[in-house]
Amino acid sequence: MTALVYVLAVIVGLAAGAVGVGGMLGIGMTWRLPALLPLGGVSLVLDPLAGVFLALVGFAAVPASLYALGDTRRTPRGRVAYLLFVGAMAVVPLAANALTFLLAWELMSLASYVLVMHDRESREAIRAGWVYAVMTHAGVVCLVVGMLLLGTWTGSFEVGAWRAAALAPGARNLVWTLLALGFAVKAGVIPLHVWLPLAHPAAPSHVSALMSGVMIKLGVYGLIRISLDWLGDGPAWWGTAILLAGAVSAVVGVLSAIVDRDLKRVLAFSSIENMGIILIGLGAGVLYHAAGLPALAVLGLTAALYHAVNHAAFKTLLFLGAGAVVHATGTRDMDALGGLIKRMPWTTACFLTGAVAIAALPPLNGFVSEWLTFQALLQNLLIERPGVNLVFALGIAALALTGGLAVACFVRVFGISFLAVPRSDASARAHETEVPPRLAMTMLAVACLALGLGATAVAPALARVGSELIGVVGSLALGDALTLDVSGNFASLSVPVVAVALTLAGLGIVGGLAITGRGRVRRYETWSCGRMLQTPRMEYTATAFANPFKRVFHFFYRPVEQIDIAAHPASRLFVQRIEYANPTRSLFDDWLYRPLLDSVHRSVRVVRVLQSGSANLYLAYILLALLVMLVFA
Amino acid sequence: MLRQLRAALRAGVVTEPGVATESAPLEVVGARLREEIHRRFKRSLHIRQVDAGSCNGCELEISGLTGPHYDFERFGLHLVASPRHADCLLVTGPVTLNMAEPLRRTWEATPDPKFVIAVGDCGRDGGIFRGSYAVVGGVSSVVPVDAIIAGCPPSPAALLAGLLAAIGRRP
Amino acid sequence: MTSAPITTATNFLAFLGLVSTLLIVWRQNWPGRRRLFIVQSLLLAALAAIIAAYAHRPELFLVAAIVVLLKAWLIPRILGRMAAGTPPRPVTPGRSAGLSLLAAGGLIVAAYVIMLPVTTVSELPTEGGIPLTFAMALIGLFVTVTGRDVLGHILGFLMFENGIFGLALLATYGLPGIVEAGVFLDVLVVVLILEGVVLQIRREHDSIAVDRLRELRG
Repeated sequence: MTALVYVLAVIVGLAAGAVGVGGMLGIGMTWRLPALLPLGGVSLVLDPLAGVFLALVGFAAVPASLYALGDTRRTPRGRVAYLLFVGAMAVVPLAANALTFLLAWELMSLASYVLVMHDRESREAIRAGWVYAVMTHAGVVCLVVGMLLLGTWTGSFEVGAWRAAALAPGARNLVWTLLALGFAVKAGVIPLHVWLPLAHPAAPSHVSALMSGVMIKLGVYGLIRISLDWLGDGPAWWGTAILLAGAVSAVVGVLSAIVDRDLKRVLAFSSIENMGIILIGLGAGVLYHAAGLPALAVLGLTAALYHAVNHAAFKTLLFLGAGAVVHATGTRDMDALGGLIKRMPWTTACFLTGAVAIAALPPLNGFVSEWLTFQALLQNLLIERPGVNLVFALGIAALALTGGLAVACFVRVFGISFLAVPRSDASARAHETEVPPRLAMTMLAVACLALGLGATAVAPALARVGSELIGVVGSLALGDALTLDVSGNFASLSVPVVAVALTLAGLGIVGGLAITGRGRVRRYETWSCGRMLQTPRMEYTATAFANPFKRVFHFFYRPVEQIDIAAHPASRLFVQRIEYANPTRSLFDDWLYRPLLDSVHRSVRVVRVLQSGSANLYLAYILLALLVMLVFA
Repeated sequence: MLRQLRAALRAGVVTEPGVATESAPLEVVGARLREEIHRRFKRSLHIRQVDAGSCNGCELEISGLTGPHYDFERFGLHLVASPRHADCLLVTGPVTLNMAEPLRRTWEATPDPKFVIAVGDCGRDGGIFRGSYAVVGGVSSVVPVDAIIAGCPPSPAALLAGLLAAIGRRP
Repeated sequence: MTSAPITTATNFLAFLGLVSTLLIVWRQNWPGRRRLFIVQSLLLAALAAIIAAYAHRPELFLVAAIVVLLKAWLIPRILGRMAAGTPPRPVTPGRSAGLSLLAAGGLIVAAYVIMLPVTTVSELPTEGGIPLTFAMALIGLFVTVTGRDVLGHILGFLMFENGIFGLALLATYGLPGIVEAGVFLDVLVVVLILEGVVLQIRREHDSIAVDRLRELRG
């Protein structure tokens, strides 16, 4: 029965992926069922942009469901929710009127909420679910209000009518701000990201894979729609806002990821970072569009879409890999892992592929999309406005810093979790996962490689989607079958050549060593300063790895040192136990959410006087309200 | 930072002027060392110092080499932090029982080709600790020794001369 | 203003309905209040039947029959079942009904004031009864407010519903059939659910007095 649900999810995913690819290639479709719901009924339209995201949903759902087939620890709870989650995500990009969109959006949020709360025994999951529910519904409120205003001012709840309507600039800006806030919550944009690092670790791994790989992308989808499509051509500050939000998210996301010890939370923070990178590309596209440079606008949008697709591939892969690790060891604490490369070679190989891809190293896919983003940003001097150029410069700096830190972050994740000697019994007893999860991870690893090597096929396809959305006539030339060529001769990149060069260099090093160093290899145990005993306690830990970053970015982490020493009662020189913790404090909790919640609590305490506990009094409120309304009506 | 700068400016130079006459033999040895190291080790010799139970007298003299007077880094000599980086082990002490195994491991961890110099009378044969129940006695009883610099302790100048001799003897 | 027989009849029935409502406010013992509720429902059924005859709306006869069946027979039976086991009179020192009656009088005045805009423009022969039935509804709500136990609340709610039903009859000669059916179903379901809730509460807490719910405040 359980298996059936996930097999069904695989089929749904495949179908959605096929339809999505069809849509990307230009097959348009429209379904309308006006009778099903009030306010315009169900209305679904397949266009190229919807196709991209539908394909994303479909092709990420396939490995995630496959993975779930092999995860024997899953609970019966959440099967229906999972199916609903996948289905709702597939409907969101297709929705072509306000009601369909909001219903699918809300269904997606609720289903994922149920899935986050799947382990109802743990306080952590309950807190995660609570924060997730509050944040996501704050976002939904923004969306509902924005769409209702839009519907009222344009006189229609159909997307097509929104495009045709010419709103006053003030009204358009208000609607854009509301909708952008709603989508930004889902996309995990700083500082609206607080739900993400809680909800992702709490959910089962195949669900966190989908939430991180696909669901938050639908926030980006919404931002693309409102900035370039539904509301017509926007002012430049929309692009500036998106670009700056992306820059902040990228840097803060990776900084948070680099110090966390929880394997899945690191991945969650890294999702925030990657959403930031996507938004930097999108913001650049919107800015170019506002400045009347359609070719560059398409380039920015292509970079954003490409990175969205790539992130879906490698983040799904990494979450599934993390899920396999958590399943095998029972812990998410990196300081309790280690040595998995010997015990879980398959998972390790796949995870390494994902880590290299997300660290944007060639020839994998992350490199290509970040390269495209850089190329889009670097041509900003064509806009001759110093203020805008400054924004672009900030974006470039943020992207560069993020790229470096991301490499460090994934060196840490991979090195600490998979290499060296196991740091705990659980890690020492780990075992390789079942066949379906391995198959799922392999599929995604191959996808990462293919999206990198096949850049010359993927990028033009996405560029076509972008130019269709923006309305550029004729498709953008992006080089030939072997080389990506940006903006005439501005820059070019040939991933296959890079790959071949890297392979040759690698072979050269290995071969050279084999020839020149023959017979001079001596194997001896790891140097441990001459100690007799080597224990896992001597290993480099995730905490230690993070410490330099904590010092350099002291102002951001604001770390606290807690040392607790228990001495022997006879003498304080005989230490029996030392506990050391070096936690960081969240800037956003302390300076944004805590004051906000405190003020809410204060005002609620005032209003609480009304809640006396007497049912009669409550009924009297009703009677009084009724009378007042009738008398003054 | 301003306070530090002010303090530095106010205090001026507090070191005594160096004695140039004494350094003449040192410079001669140094020039030959540099030449030998250049020729045999392609510019630099990395040394890992191992204290195998020394009284720290030898260490005091060795660290004197790194001071401003001798400053042996200018001749191409470096003390390194791990035997993995070293060409040469500089071993002091009579090799106590507890240090015998770590010394052996250090020697194993040093990549080939390598050579070992025993420093001080203790390193040569156990010195005044010879015959004690707590020492193995002499570096050569644990690892193969290529050269010995005697003295209790040997002066920095003697150390440099010994190093030169040890290097010069190598093929 | 000529006094057509229909006006007299509806006014009279609405008046009797209001009287029965006030009697419910006045009476303290439970079986008596239940019987008065049956009387009120029967009066409304009669009102429905008269309007059905006058306005040639045969479906209102059906509505009248349903009212008799539901509100004068089935729901009172359920109410009786719920009340089984509680003492017929409140054991606690009784409150004087005087204040409640005074408040009810005030509500009747309020009902006239509120309905003034309706009655001045209305040309219906039944307009005289509109404020009376509206007063019934308001007093029903008032009974729920002052109710000391769950039974009081349910009774008040049913009276409120009766008042609205009467108002609909007099003002528009009945609601569309589908709405009417829905309302009847609602009332029945509410009563049935509350029966379950009441039995549960009593089993858990040995009491259905509202005062004790205060402890449930979060």
